[in-house]
Amino acid sequence: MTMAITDSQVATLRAHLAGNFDEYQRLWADLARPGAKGGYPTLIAAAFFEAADRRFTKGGGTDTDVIAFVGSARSRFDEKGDEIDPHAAEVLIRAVLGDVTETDLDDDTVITTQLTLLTALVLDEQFSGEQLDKFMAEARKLADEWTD
Amino acid sequence: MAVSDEQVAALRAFLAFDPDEGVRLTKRLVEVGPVGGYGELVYAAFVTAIRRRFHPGWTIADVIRLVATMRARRLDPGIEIDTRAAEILIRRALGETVAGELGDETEARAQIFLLAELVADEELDDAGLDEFLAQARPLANQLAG
Repeated sequence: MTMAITDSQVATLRAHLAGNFDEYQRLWADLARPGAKGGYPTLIAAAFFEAADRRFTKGGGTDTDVIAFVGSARSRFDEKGDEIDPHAAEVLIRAVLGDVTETDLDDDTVITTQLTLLTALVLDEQFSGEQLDKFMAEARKLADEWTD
Repeated sequence: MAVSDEQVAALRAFLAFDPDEGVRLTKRLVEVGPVGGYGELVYAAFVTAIRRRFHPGWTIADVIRLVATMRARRLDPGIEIDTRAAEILIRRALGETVAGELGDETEARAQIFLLAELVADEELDDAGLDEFLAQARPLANQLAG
């Protein structure tokens, strides 16, 4: 049985997205306890879905925008140029837009790519603290729906 | 074998976006020759274009951004460029040792695409295009042995 998303998981991802890295490290260490991490990948996936949907569906994005965004995100976060697969990144965004229904990406690639793209998407939104809380609440709600 | 005037003319037509002339001259090369050395000329032109575009102190982020920009503006299902291959080719042209096996076709497609885009960005007139190819030619001769 998949467990519901926990406050601790939400707080951990929020700290990461807010750039509170000391807080993130502390909370992440806490998630290392057996059973604590559970739905964390689902929360990341849900938050990524919400953020990408906000940017590219509701915001009106084209394939050109997707390519440009992935380039921007990688130029900011992929220091060695080989950490984020650009094809995987574009496919994951296109999956949110409904252009792709199946991928052959392994779980690790999906999670690490989603987290990087999510970080870039949230940074671009320049959320206030309150807006970030609201965003995390929406992501949690979606993640809970997926784990039901 | 040094690159020939005919090979330079064929590449020049391609880079000047004169497809009919490009096709005619390439066909002639294939029929009459010489073909050997043309690949080296294309590669030398690519390296020259890259070195003209990037300044010392370039970063991997610059490379990533350039490839993304070029792919985004030429979005076409028929022009599928392997992003990572394109980035690796650029970094190698700039002198970096980068691991990664690139298939011949993947490499050729990325190289031709980037070369065409880079030259288009320079908005060269006839004299400028001649100068560019004259700059590439010595490297091509060196590569062709």
